Amino acid sequence: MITIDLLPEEYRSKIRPSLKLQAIGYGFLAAAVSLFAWWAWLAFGVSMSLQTEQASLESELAGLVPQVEYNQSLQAEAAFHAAREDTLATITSSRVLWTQVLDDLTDVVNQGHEDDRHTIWFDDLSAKVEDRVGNEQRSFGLLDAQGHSGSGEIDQISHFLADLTDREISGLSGIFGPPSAPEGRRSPSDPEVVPSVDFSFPLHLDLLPTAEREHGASTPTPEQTENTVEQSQGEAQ
Amino acid sequence: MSSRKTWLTLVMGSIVVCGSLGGMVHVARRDIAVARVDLQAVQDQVNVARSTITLTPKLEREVIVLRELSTFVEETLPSTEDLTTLIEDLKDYLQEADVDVESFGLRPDRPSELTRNTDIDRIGYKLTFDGGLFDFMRFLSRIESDERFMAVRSFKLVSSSRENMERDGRALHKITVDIETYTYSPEDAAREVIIDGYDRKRDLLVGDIGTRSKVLRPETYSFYGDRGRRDPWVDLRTPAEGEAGGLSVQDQVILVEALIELVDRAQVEWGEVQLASNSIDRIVKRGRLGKTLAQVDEELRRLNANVEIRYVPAMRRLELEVLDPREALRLALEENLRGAPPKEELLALEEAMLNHLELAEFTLAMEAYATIEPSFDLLQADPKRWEVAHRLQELDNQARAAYEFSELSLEFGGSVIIELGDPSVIVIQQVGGERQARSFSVGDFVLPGLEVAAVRPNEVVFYFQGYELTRVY
Repeated sequence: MITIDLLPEEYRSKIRPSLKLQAIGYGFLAAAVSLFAWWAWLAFGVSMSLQTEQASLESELAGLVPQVEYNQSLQAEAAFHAAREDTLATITSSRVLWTQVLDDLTDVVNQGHEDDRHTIWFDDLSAKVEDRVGNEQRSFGLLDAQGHSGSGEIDQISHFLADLTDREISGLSGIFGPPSAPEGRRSPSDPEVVPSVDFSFPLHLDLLPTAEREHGASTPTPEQTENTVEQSQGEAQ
Repeated sequence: MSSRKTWLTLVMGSIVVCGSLGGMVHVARRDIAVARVDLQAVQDQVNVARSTITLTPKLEREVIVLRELSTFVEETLPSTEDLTTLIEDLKDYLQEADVDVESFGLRPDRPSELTRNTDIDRIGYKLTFDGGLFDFMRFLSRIESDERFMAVRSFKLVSSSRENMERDGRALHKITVDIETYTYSPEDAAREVIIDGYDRKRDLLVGDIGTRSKVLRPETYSFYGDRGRRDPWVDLRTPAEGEAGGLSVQDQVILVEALIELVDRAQVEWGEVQLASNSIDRIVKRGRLGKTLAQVDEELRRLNANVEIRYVPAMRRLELEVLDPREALRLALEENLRGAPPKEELLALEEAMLNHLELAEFTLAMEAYATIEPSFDLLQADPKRWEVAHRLQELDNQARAAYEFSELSLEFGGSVIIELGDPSVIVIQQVGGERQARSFSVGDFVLPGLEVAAVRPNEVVFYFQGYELTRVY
């Protein structure tokens, strides 16, 4: 069936779209405009701003790169030198100054003889620093000697061993652990020499671990020794 | 198309447009999120770069200090083995310690646990020699204070036997010592960075450099020699015979060593006498030697009178290092005094005497002549040298006359010089405790042997001991 609308225009309001449809239509339109505005803000506002900011930062970064590279070169050079210094410190700290050890031992022997505390001499001496590192290490080095005490009195050996640990006489106790317990064996008497009696004894000293050794421990200089002697003479008088 | 359809179309179109715009917004937001992440990353990089750069001045200072210390570190821990220099150093130290090495050799190259997994290499040397304890300590001291880091890993000393000590006169122990040193050769050495204003910045860091250098320097020990101490590796027992009341071994050794020192000094002085460039130098040095020898003799007389050296090594050293060289020196000195000087020496002496006379150093001229006076007669045998000797004698006479003339005390009061008349000089003399002015003309004797030869303004010429001598006043 064909329907022909012949109503005059002024009567046609009834067939206009409903308000609901119009509202939906306008709503979508508004939404479309808003979305467009949002997109435009994002695309031309935020995004451009970010790009500008990034460009600025990249430009700044480009300016900083040579300085950073300079810094890194300096770091590399410093690390190279520092590694060498550390290496030097490692090997120097393990060294034992044997001149000092022998000097101190000679002082102990001589001073004890002068004070009539003991009369000691040695047949030999061997010394060694162990070539190992690590916490499991048991021995760090040693000093061995075969000694003689020129007296029939057995306490002279213990006097000598006690003097070895006397800080006022020597710095040996800062380098070695305590000496072994006093022991000795009477040598055959020799009537052709004085003293004719002597006890032979072993001297054994173990090196302390590197970290426990006293660095810079030293006996007094000759000048200091002289002053001490003068002082003690003065006190004696 | 109806209005409704139009609206419907519009709605549908709006939906499509909204959908598209929504998609675009989504994409834009995603891009922005990505851009923000990128921006943050760049920002982080910039922040890191900025904070890194703030450390640059400190790092620069550190590098300057380390670089300035690197010379010292390189000396201590060199990059190359340089065994030649090492051996040369060892040789010098052995010489300084006065010991002769018996053998030396590179130790088997076994890796050190201390230097495992590092860029350090170890070089070990084993030396064997005979030497006294204090010689050995001197050697050790030099090793342990060398610029290049060296350490003694182990050593062994076997004391000298009594027979050897009696033979050598001193205790020469058998010594074996393991010396080691290290090299440092990193695989990737750092390039030296160019630092602006390096010299200026370094000058500001001199204090830091000094402090760090002290910390880095390996610990050393100062060895002051034997200081009169006894070698503990020498059996100190003395022969029982005659022990009572005698000097201790240590005192005997000290006495003998003091004498050895004197004889050593005399030998050095004898060397200087032989190297003397001229006669005056020779006589001065010979005189010095004579004094030292007299001191040696005095000490020996005192030793013989008061002390008995019984300790065999000390006895042996007294014989080998004091008495024998003393006798040799005595003979050499006598021989030196006996010989007549060569012509070159006489000519040099003549020139020296002329110089002394020119400078009015009369006593020095006389002393110079005295050096050849004892051998004057020996020169007669050679006419050429005899001629020079005569000239020297004449110069000595001149020096003597000039010296005595200069010692004469003359006070002049003025002179009278008249044209066509005899000039005269007024001399003030002490007569009977009083000062008197007396006039002397040419030919008068002012003092015995001092004749006025001429009078000129402000000077008088005298005849004295056959010479014309002028006194200016």
